[in-house]
Amino acid sequence: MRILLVDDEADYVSTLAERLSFRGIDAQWALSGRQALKYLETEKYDLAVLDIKMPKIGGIELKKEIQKKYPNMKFIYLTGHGSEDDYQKGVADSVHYLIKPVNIDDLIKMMKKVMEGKD
Amino acid sequence: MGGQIEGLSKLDLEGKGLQRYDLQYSGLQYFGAMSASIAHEIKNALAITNENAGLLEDLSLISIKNGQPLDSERVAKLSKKMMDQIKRADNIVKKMSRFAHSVDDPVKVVNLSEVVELTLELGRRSASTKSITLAPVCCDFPISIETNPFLLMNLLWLVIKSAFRRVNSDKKIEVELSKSISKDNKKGDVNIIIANLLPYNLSCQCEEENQKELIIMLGNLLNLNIDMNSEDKIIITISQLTK
Repeated sequence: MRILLVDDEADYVSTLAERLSFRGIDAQWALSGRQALKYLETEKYDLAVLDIKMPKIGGIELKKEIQKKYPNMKFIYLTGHGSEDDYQKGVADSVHYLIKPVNIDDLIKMMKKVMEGKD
Repeated sequence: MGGQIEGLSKLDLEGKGLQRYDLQYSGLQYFGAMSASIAHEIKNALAITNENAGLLEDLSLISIKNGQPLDSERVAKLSKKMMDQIKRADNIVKKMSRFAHSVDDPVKVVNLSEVVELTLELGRRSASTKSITLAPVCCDFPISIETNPFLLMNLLWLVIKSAFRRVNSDKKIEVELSKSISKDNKKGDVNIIIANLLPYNLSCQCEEENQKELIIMLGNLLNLNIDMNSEDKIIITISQLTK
């Protein structure tokens, strides 16, 4: 499984990527939607984990952009809020979401579930 | 120069009917928006701490498994990262505490530059989601004023938000404080200038009407004059009596 993590907090996303690599998951990270789109020009990913709130291009907008080019790509949202609003956005978008701070095992379980196409 | 804002001995909302509701609702909205932004910042600090602690645990388990000592330099770096995040969260909580206490007194003597800076600090995340930078307050002298700190912050934030539509290509909003004293030395004005904006566009007027009304209402309540129609800036003027 090859994943792309997108979050504007460098310390967060780089550490998460390293921890995932210890668990056999190939994770690359980007600090912005723009950087993520650039990576997508040359690299292929199965799944993107997107922070909802980011400057310039937020996770929801980024997902739409990515889907235009890669309609089969899967997504998980990450959010710091855990508000009803975020839940509704996730539901409306048919995207699973996790609230920060996340348990890495929960994240991996969700990644597998999403990749297998289970609800 | 210090002193009292003319006419602001108490906040008089009596007999203002619907306006009172509008102000209360606006205040609640502001409080809610800033609280959500603060919660988000704290969550981010916790998330980074959580990942660094998790990485430390991972490295410990790997070192046990491989029978190799832990890389002490790496451990020290991770500890430093965690301490930095704790410091970051502590700063956020301090700001939150100052913000929460801004509703303690209806009228209070405050340092204007501190109030403005706190408003900007709280609003920076919200601005950054629109790629807008709020520059630090430009002021190198203390200005004491007597006001309702929460309403002043609410007003200032409404004004800054209205300026979001007028940002230049550099997307940077500058806030300056300046003061002037009348010739007879009896009266002085303090100006909060929101600068580096595009010219005021009259076509925006309809969309902004409600917000503008609220700004004017709050300005009247706090005895402030607000000029939103200047070429490249918004000026909030506080008239003071000099001591």
